[in-house]
Amino acid sequence: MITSNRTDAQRRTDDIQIFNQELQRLEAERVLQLDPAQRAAIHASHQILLAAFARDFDIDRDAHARQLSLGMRIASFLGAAALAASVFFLFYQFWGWFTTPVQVLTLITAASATFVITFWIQHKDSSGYFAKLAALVAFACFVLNMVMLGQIFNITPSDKALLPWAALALLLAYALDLRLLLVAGLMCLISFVAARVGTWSGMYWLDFGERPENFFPAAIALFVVPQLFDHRRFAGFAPTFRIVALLALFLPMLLLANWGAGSYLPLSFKVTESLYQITGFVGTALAIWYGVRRQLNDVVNTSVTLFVIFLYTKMFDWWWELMPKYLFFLTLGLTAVLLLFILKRLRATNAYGPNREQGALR
Amino acid sequence: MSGRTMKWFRKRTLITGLLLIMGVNIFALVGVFYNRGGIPESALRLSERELVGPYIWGSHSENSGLSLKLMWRVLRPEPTEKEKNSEDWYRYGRYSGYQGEADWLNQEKLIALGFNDGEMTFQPYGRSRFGRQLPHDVLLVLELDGAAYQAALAQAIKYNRGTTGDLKLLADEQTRNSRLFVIDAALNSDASITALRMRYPDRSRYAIVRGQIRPTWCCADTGNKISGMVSKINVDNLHVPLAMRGAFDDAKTSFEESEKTRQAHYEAVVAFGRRLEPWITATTRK
Repeated sequence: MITSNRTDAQRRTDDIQIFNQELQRLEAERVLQLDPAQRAAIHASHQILLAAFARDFDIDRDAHARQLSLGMRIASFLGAAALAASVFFLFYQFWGWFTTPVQVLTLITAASATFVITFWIQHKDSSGYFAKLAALVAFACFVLNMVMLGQIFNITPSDKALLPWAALALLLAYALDLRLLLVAGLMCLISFVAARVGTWSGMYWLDFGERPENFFPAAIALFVVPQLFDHRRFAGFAPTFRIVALLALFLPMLLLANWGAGSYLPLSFKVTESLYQITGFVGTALAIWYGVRRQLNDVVNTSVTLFVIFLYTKMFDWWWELMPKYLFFLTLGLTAVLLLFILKRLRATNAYGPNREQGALR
Repeated sequence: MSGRTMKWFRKRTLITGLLLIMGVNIFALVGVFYNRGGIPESALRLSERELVGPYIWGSHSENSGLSLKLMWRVLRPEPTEKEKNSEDWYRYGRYSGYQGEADWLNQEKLIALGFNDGEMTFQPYGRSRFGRQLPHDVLLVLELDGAAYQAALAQAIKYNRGTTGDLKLLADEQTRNSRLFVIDAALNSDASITALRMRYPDRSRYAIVRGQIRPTWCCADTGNKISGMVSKINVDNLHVPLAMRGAFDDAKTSFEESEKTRQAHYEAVVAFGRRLEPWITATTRK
C-alpha cells in the first residue's frame, strides 16, 4: 500500500494495532504461534513504519490520541473563526482614522503577511493544526482586503471578486490538505458560475439566488471534476467535491419543489413544483444507484439523506393536514424502518462496500 | 512526497499566492485610477438633504469609518380621482420616495430596457408570475434640483389641505427632503451613456449611474397597468476619506437623534468617473 497522505498512514497504523490485537488472541487460543525471530522481525518493521508515519504525518497511535486529535481539530476551527472575526472587527474599529494610502497598505499587508506566516508555520509545525488555523485567518484577511477596498473606493460590487477568493481558498486547501477551505473555494466557484449564468438572462448578478436553477451547471461540473483529475494524494477531497456538487444540485431542486415561483420555466407554479418534486426523487434515486455501483459511500450517504428529505417534505405536504399527528409521525417512522430494511439489504449484497477511492472523510 | 519535493511545492505555492494577492489589488487599484482619471463624467454639489449619515446601531457603533448614503427619489405620478378622495393616499401615498414607481417607466420603456415583450402580460399565470421577474441592470439618470423636484414641491403645495400632516410634508419638501430624482433610464452600454449625455448635457445637474429596475403593476382597483420601479442604485454608499470628515461631524447619529442629523448642514461635491463610480472630491461645512 502506497502511503501518500495522512489518511493512508492512519489507516495503516490502525491496521497494525488490529493485527497485533488479533495476533494476541490467536496465540492465546493456540491457533498460531510465531517464533521469536518472526515476532522480532514483525515488531521491528512495524516500529520503523510507525516512527516514519509519526514524523511525516503526525498520526494518532492509539484511541486516546485519536480523541485528542478530534478535540484539536475542533479547537483549531473555533480558534480560526474567532481570530478571523477579531481581525475583521480590529480593522473596523480603527480604519476610519487612517488615511486612504495607509488603509490600502494595511489591507494588502495583512493579506500577504498572514499568507506568508501560514507557510512559515507549516514548515515549523508537523501536526498541521496551527498551519490550518493560520490558513483560515489568511483567507479571511484576503476577503476583508477586497471587501474593504471596494468600500473605500466605492467600487461597484462585482461577481468577479469571487474568482480570486476561490483561487486563494483552493490554493491553501491543496497546499495544506484543508477540506474546510476546499468547501469555501468551491462555494465561491459555484456562486461565480451561478451569477454568470444569471447575468446571461439579463438579471443583476447579486440576484442569482432568486433563481435556484443557476446553480445546476456548476453542480454538474463539480461532480465530474474528481473523475477527470486524480485526487488520491489529497485525502477526502474527491468525496468533498461530490458532496458539495450533490448539495448544490439537489438543495436548489428541493427549494423549487416547494417554491415554483423561483423557476425560469414558463409554467404555472404548481406544475413547476410537481416537476421538481419528481426530478428530485428520480435524481436522488439515480445518484444512490450510481454511488452503489461505483462504491462511492459519500454519494450514497448524501443521496440517501437528500432522498429522505424530499420524501419527508412531500409527506408533510400530503398528510400533515389530513392525518392526526400521531398517525403522521407513525407513518414517518415506518418509512424510516422501510428504508433501513432496503439499506441493510444493499449492505448484505456487498454492493455498499468499502469506498472505492479510499477517501473517506475524517 | 519527499522533503525536497515538499519544499519546492511549498515555495511555488507561496509565490503563486503572493502574486495572486498583489495582482488582484493592483487590478482593483488600476480600475480606481481609471475611474477617477481625467475629467469626471459628472459632478453634483449635494447637501445634507441628499447625503445622509448612517444610523448607529449594534456593531456599527464600533465602526470608525464613515459612509454617507445617497438619498435618491422617484417622482410619484399624479393621483387618480379615487386616490384624491382617499385619506390613505394623503397619509402614505403622497411622498415621492425611495424605490418608487415611475410614471416614465411604462411598458414601452421597459421593453426598450431589455424586458421581454412576452413577459409584459399577466396571462396565463396572473400577477404573481409577472411580479416575480427579476430586476435588470441599467443606466439611470439622476437629476439634482430640477424639474422632478419642482414637480414634487408643486404636488405638496397643490394637495396641502392645511392639516398638520400636510403642512409638515410641505415643510419637509421645501427644506429637508432630497432634491435628487431618478428621471430616465437606458440600456447598460457605452453608446447609451453617450446618448444620455447628449440628452442631459449639464454635468453639474445630471449624473449617469448604474442601477436596477424591475417591472411592477399599479392601480390595483383597475387591475392591469404595467409600469416599472427603480429598485436600486448599485453604489449609493459613499466612503468619506479621513481628510474630509471634519464637515460631517454631526452626520453620524443614533436613531433617536435623527432630528439632530437633519440639522447638520454641509455640502459635498460628488464626482462620477469613467466607470460611473462616485467619490467625494470636496466638502464644506455650512
